[in-house]
Amino acid sequence: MQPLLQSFASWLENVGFFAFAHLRAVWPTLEALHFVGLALLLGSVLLLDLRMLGVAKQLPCGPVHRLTLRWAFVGFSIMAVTGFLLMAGKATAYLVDNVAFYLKLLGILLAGVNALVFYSTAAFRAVETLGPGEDAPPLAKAVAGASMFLWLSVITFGRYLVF
Amino acid sequence: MPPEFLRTIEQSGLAAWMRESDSFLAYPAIITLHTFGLALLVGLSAAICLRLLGVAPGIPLAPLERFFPLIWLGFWVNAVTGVVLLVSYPTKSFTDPVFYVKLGFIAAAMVYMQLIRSRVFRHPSPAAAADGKHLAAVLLLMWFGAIFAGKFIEYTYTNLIYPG
Repeated sequence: MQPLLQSFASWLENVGFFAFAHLRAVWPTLEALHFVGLALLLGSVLLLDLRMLGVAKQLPCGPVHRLTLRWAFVGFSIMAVTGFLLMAGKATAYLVDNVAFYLKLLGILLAGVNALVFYSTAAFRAVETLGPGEDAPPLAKAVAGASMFLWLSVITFGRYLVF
Repeated sequence: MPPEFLRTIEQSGLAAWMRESDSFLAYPAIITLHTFGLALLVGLSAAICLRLLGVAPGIPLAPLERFFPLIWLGFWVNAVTGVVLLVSYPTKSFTDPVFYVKLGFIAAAMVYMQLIRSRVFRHPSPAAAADGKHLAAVLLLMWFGAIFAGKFIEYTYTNLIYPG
């Protein structure tokens, strides 16, 4: 597994295009944009999760969900693109012997599975129609709690993966 | 030479522990908390800004005020963790102009946040709604600036620790 990862990482690093990330101001710009994406993703996800958990209960869930869906997607896309470019530019450091990086990916995967659970069960329909002052069903609350936990874990692994 | 007090801070026990400890609770834990704070502070206030700019008009404004205490929680988490990070590498930040640019953006952002709270949430009116769009746009720019300045400190500082 290790030699395979190493050769893949070396290949990525040697793709000429990804070397542009090392230009003077490009690297910090990519990093800063990664955090702009983080603010958009986490902000919109927290808004919906906290509402489902009972904060700002006077908010109707439907419109909050529409804001969250759109802007979490925008934030996630920014993070995915900038994150991939940052990884490709220093592929060996990310891909070889970096447990935190793989735990971060696992966290993102689990957050995706958690969202899938939300959308494929009755929790989603219940939340779409949840009016001001109404309590979210237990399953929706569990999904909201798991979502917050998983995204905070992703941030944590992201901070521990640096070399 | 940078001012002497920077060396004094740098040689304190807390600073040395933050820089040198292999403990999972040292530098990486503090920077992780600083990022949690960013998610609360910038994330939630950006979400409110998006609503003020006309995204998802179906969301009623008044209940959103409930998020302001959490936004302030994010601010205080970042103020405290920010001071600890500053104590760890005082020369690095205090001698870099970009650090003061970051602080300026944050100060302006907090002023705009309170303006939004008082003008749009506490005294709502049609005029306040138009005002809210303007304030929200400026606040988003301030956060953008603060994040960029924060990241660029890593690449613009001249001395990581006190020289000599």
